Order: sequence, then structure tokens, then C-alpha cells
Amino acid sequence: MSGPLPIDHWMDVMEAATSEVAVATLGVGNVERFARLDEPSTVMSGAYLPLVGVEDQLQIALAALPDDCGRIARAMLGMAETDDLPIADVADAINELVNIIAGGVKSKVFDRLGALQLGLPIFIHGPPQPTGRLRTRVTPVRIGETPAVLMVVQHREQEA
Amino acid sequence: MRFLIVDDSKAMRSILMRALKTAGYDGSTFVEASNGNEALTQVRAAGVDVVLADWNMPEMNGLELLRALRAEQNPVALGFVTSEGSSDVRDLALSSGALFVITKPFTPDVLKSALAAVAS
Repeated sequence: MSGPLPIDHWMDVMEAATSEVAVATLGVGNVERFARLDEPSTVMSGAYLPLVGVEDQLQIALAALPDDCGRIARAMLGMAETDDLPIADVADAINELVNIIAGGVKSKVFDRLGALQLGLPIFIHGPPQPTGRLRTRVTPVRIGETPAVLMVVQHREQEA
Repeated sequence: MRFLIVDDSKAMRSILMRALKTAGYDGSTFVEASNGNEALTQVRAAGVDVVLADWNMPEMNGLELLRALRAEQNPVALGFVTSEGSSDVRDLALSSGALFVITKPFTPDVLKSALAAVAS
């Protein structure tokens, strides 16, 4: 153990895990990454999952516009874009996607941080509210053809 | 081969089914359950060759399912597919009679390797 990881390191790890999951597990195509931001540029819906270790506590998230969440979910379920999909099933799919990504993140930091505990993912409409103690990092991505963002939320005092 | 996929996430069940087909089990039969209780009912009613179960589920989790099956002297092959890949979870699963523990994220090749013992 060597102290909390910087938020950009967490984002590096999350980006790598997301790319692996998209190609190898889901088969939905490559993940194209764009320049990082400090917060999402628009209001999105997405799944947030807590990761808790001895020295780090953070949330990772995948968010997108509602229609794009639906596209990602349909791709995961092997459905056509025109198929009806209840919002509960969209939330289930995006939650599961973040859960799988979290599994990849967990394995990638194991040697440095030991075993992280994964919390339950929750699907939320809207952005996290920044506070003086929260730091957010956002990477806009394109998963296959669908735009989305990856997000890491970390308490400032935990950042190295 | 007849697979029972047990996960409270419909999306995860779908992902597993597609991965199994990619791994070469496209001619197999797939049955689904969203928790351990439903899985027990499926196994008792129709019988399956392999159970792929999540670790954390509502009502009856994967480990409780495995223990319930073994308490009934049911030797069906059961493997876990979970994000809970710690050594503690792995040891507990294997010592309770699980065939394997696959940690998410996984690939169809990982599934194929884990299932090789059952397939042979």
C-alpha cells in the first residue's frame, strides 16, 4: 500500500478497463477517448458505483444522454435499436456495465492497493453536485458509435 | 448441454448467454433465473448440466444456492461469475463445491477454459 491514488490515475485505470470490457466482454466495439473535463458538459443519466479500499474511497460512473443509455443497453442485450426497452431494463444494463468495469478496475489496482470492496451500482438522472470536498474527473468517450462519459468522483483530501 | 444462468441482472444473463454461444456452446439450451430460489426450482423441475451463478443476489445468493444444492445431494456443476474475485470469496466458493470462479470482466475464452472439465 502506498497511499491514495491521484484522480487522474484512477481515470487512466477506468479508461483501460472500459476499453477491455467493451471489446472483450461486450463485443460492442472500441472505446474512443476525448480530452478530459472537470465535470460533464451536459446533464446526463448514468450508473454510479462506490469503490472502497483501505486508503481510497471513490465513485466511478458511466453516464450518457437518456437515448444513448438506451442504445448502450440495447447493444448489451443484443436488441435492435428500434426495440422497446423499459427504463428499468436500461438502468439494469448500465448498472451491470459499470459493475463489470469496476471488476476490471479492481483487478488493475490490486497489486498497489489490495482488494477493493465494490458497492452496489445505482442509476441516477442528473449530474453529481460538486462541493468543496469533491473532485470530479470526466472523460468523454464513444463506445462503438454511442457517446457517453466516464466519471471518477473522489474526496479532495484523499487525493495524493 | 443445458445451462442455467442465475443473475439478478437481465443484462448480465444476456451477456453470459452470448459469451457461451461465442465460446462454442451455441447449440446448447439456456435457462434463466434471477436468484437462487428460482434457480433451485429450475434445477429440481428440469435438471441442468451446468449452473453459472452470480455471487450477490437478492432472496438467495449464489453461495446459498450452492449449499442448498449440495444439501440435496445434487452434484450439478456450478461455477460463479462475479465481481467478487477476492481470494476469500474464491476459497469459500471452491471449498463449498464450486467448480470455478470467474471474475468480471471475462472473455468467452475464459468461459471456455473454465467449462472444459464439464464438456469433457
